[in-house]
Amino acid sequence: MFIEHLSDRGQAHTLEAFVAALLLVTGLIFATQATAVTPLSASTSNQHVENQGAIAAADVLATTKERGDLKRGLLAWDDGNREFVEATNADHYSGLMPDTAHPLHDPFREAFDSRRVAFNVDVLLPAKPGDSRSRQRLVDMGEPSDNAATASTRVTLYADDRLHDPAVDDLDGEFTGTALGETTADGSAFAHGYFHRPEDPDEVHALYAVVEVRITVWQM
Amino acid sequence: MADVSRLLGGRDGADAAARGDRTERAQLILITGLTLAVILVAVVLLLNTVIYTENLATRGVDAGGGEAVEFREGTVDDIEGLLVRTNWTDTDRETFDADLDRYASSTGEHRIREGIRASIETDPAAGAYVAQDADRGLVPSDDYLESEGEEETVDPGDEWTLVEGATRTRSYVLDVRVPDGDRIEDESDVDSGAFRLRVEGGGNSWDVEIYWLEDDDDVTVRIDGEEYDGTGDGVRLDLTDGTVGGERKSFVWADGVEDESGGQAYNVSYENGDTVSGTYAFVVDAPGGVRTASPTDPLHADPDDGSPYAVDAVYDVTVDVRHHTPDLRYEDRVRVAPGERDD
Repeated sequence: MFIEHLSDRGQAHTLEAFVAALLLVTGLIFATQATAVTPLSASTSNQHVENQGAIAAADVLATTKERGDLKRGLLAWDDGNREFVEATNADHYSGLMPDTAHPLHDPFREAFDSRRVAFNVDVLLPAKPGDSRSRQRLVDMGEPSDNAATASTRVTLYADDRLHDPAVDDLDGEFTGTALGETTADGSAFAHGYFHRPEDPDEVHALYAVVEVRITVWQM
Repeated sequence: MADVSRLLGGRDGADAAARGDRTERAQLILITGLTLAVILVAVVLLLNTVIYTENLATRGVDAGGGEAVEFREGTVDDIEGLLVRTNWTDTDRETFDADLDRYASSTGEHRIREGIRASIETDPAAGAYVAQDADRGLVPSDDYLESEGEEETVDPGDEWTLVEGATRTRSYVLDVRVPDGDRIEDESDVDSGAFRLRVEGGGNSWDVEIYWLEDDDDVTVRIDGEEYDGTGDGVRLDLTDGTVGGERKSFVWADGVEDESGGQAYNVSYENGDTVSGTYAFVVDAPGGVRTASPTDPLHADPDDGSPYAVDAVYDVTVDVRHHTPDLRYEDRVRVAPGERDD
């Protein structure tokens, strides 16, 4: 009787053990899946968010470059104060540009700011082989998270491109300030205080410089 | 499970045991069912996750083809910008070559820091820029008309050649007016009295005639037999781009004369240039074919001497673009010639 009864119980216990094990495993699976939902942690679903960020950044660069807004954004430089026009932090912006007429204000607001996506915009200056590229910040919203995505494009600045003249120019109009290729009377230095100046003014003919603009985006 | 009712003995015991056995069996079946259900759900979830992960893991932003094409497009745009600026300002080939070198090296340096080996090799082809900036008759230079007049009578309306031996032409913009006094009576006078631009080579010719009929409101432009209206007494033509007054038309520059591969040399000449006045400018790929000396030549050699003039220019740039990433090798050859006809 005892033996028979015990064997009955044994089967139930085995099943119970399996169920318990399953419960534990599902609990673990559930726990890991639940944490994956937060946008900042690394996971497969976060990869998707990253991809989307990279695509959005690349698209903004492509459209603003095509329209010429990207270059105008780079030329909106206050020559006298050696900073971007109406800069909010040192010589660059700490977020979206304060002036709605800034050529990059609307594209950045629509693509990033209104979606609560943080972004940094850096301008990388040309470097000689072996040297590292120096960087001029355009927008700096802080340190990117581990899951930030980047996109970059290059912008060619010509010697006849003119800087924004804060005294007379509108940010959404034509720029009539100093031309990038303009030099002082003796030709030894450039006439402007732009953030990038090629070492030798004699080298500059029609081409001023090729710079790279890099956008880094991440979820806030 | 074994029947244990007899071992227990007694009716009551047997009944109780049978009852207990039945309830335990039901419980087991229930638990088994539940377990199976949970296992099935878990398997489904697991499979789903595996598929989703595989899907996401293999889906990159793109394989790199878009980036390579973008690199080529950007390079073509930038070199076009350099070419146009060089022809505007400084026609010195050496500075243009220096600019191209600097462009190629800074672009390559930018790319190499992204892990991409990119190179741009350029080969500019010499040409000539022929233009008349001052608003005057479409006739040879004043020096030429005066000096030639001493030896033989040169009528400003005679046919004169601007370019010899060109094979390609781009950015041909013609902006002319017909003075009121030079209107012609009817179509039969067009052949003898209207301004004619003729492209001639290999036994074929392509004509543009501009005239203003006395009973017509607008100037007429006849291109290769097709007639188009100007606005009032003037018209602005972009002959290589195919526009009349800014509107795109169906004519093709030097149709039947210019060879797509650049194998057919041709001349460009004006006739009855004294019946119209205006400005023009174009670039041809014939460095030796353009007349360059004054006063024995209808074109000035220096823009400062007056119009019309011809100066050295860059006609086009052949660009070899290479863009190598670990996944993709992309190479292409592009010819940059802004303002050339589109076939």
